[in-house]
Amino acid sequence: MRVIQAERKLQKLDFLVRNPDYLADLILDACAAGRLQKERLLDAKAVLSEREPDLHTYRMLRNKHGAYEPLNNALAVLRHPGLIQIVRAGLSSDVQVRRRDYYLLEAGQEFAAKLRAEIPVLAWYDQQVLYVRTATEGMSTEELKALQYGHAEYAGTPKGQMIAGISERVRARLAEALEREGLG
Amino acid sequence: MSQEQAGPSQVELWLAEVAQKSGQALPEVRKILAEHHVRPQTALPHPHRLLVTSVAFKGIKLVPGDGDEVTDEAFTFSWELGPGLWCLASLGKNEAGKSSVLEIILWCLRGRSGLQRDVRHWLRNVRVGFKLDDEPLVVDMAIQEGLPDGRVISEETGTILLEFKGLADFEQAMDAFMLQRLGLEPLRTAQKAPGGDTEPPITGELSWPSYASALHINGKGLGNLLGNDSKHGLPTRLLELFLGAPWAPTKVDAAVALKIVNAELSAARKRAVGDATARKAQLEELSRRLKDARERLAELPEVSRAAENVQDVFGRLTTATNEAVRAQEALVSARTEHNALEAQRLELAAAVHTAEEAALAHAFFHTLMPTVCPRCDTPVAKARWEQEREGHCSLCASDLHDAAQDGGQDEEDSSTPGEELRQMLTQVQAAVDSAASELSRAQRVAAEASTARERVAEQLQEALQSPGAASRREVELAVARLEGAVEERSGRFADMDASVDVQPLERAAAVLDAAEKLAMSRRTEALKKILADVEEDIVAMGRELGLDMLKEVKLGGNASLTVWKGGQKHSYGSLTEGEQLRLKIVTTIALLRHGHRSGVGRYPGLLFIDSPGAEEVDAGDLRHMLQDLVTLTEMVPQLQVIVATARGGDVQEVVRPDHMRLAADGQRLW
Repeated sequence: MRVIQAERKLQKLDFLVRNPDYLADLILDACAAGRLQKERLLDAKAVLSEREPDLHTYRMLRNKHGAYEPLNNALAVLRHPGLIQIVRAGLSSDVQVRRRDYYLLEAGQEFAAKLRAEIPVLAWYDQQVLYVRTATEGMSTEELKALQYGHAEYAGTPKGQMIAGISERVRARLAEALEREGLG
Repeated sequence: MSQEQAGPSQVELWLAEVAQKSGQALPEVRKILAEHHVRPQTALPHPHRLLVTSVAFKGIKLVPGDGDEVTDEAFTFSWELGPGLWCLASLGKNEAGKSSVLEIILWCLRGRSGLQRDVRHWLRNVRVGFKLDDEPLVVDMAIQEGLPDGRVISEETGTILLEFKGLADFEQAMDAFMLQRLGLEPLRTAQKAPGGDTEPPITGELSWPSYASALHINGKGLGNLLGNDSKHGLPTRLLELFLGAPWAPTKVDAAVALKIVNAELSAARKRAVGDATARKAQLEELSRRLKDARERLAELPEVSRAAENVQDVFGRLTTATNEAVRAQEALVSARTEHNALEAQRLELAAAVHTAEEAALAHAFFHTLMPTVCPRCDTPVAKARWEQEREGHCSLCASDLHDAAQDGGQDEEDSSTPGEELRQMLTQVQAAVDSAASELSRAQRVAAEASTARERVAEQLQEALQSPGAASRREVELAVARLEGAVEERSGRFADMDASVDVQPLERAAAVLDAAEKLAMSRRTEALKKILADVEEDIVAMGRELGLDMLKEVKLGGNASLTVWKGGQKHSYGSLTEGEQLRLKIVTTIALLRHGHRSGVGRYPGLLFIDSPGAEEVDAGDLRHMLQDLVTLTEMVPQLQVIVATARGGDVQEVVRPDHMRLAADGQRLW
């Protein structure tokens, strides 16, 4: 069973999957900080230029605490066939929900494997999620949040507006990093 | 009177001869002579008389006492004189103040002091009376620290004729005064300049002190027969003065002017030669440069072509620039168009992609059976699944048929929204392709225009910088200038400036040369007759004065004296000092006598002789000499001779006692 703890983390990860430019930038950061090996720069290159990011960019709205979209409808699709389970952490007496954890059920894993096998087009997401997972390995929600707010485009977007992309900037940064590491 | 009447005609005659000899027209001759201050002159001057009547002075002398002490000692001296021989004498004592008395008198007459400096500083007051052509005059001066402050007064009227202060002032004032009163002209002189022929000669004037040196015979100027200086032909001038030689000043004026003109001429000729040489060198240099410039010009492209090039290239650059700008604008608009379409295409592509993914996922998810309610996690009961067979949703019980139909339509109908999107995408893709090809065409055009513009700009740069334009113009100008310069220097005016300098000078030189020679011949002709008489007098008097061996003398018009004695020929300069002194006195007296006899000499009739017995003259000869002087003064009533001698004993018999101031044995005169 796989689990993603806390809705906020899910939101952050969703943002990275839907915004390849921010993902590439995160990979660059991770490489620069030494959390990832130099070779992972090629992942950033793949994410930013090779994997048709234009077709797979789904910008998100800026909410009170950053990028946020209600998950219910989307997750309902996974929930009602019993692919995932959403568990509320804390006591049953809590007035407010402290935390929601998102579990991938066995049926979900099987279904994902089937999807992966039968519809290659959708395998793109499989791979993209793998990049996100590699890049965010060991990062806390707070760290992810801090990174995202580090971008002027992200932090500066007014509430309720689409968060703008940073493709050009990341492209330049990536070219420079590749050049520096001899991977260009 | 007859002489003065003859004057003008003689002058005219002389002018005509000068004109003929110089080959110049008479008016030109007059003009040149006037320009150079040459005065045709034959009018004989009136003789003037100068007579010392009194000398008085006082002062304080410093007398060395015992050891370092110096005591002041007041002194006075006063002496009244008249015509005739007068004598200041001591008995063998040399420092008796005789010479000082002579020098004090001379100072007052000449204006120039020959006094010893210490004596001048001792003096406090000097007063010398003299008659100038019977007008009694007094020089009266106070002396402070050797510097005079005084005046010349006409004694009869008390009129102050001159006032002076200081040595130089006194000399200048006296010079002008005496020359004018004695009817003497300042004589122009010219000396060769140290710089050579081309330098103008150093010119000056013989002034009164120079003339007056003939008044004074002493040990200093013995080497000269007349006067005490041989510079500027002074002895000759004095000879002419003594004998009243006609045409002499004219000759001197002409000679001096000629020297000046010759120097100018020499300089002008040298310059002309130098100019010609320089001009030739210059011409060669200019010709060489002209040749170089022409060769350089030949190597350059044609001027018209170069100029046209620049003009043309400018025009083409403007056109090319405009084209490049237009191409750039087209490129920008093509890119904008293309980018807009491309953005649209991307959007559509994303939408199509999303739609396809959604469709696929939807189909797949449709196969799953609901297990729980997504809202409340309540498991879906079997009874609810049964509802779906009846066409109702197992979760919300809504009619499944519509939904299934919608979904069915999605799969079966080719004109689904997804398909529409795809068709739109195809169209947009075509538009993007066309825009892209338009863009690339615009890029190519812009690049070509830009390259063309750059090429033209380079051409312009080349045209501007290449020797074709700038240098060509410069070289052409240089050639034109050089051609002008060469033409100018090889044309008929090439020698003009030099001849402009030289010709008038040559004319002036010819006139002045003729004037000098003709005046000289007239002067010499006039002197020749007189000199023979003078020579006889010199021989006779010389024998009287102990020159027993004297046979014959020859007095030249240039105041040279050649002496035959003891069968030998001697020049004046080669004689002993004793002989020179005696001959000098004798010659002076002889000239004075002659001047008096003929009535033309301008010598003022006053002579100072200092120490005539000093040079190996024995007592008898000295007495002879003085006796002769006495005889001379008796013959010439206005003549005054003042003698100073330390041999008072020897001359006592000859000189009248009242004409003699004799210092007592071992005493001073003052």
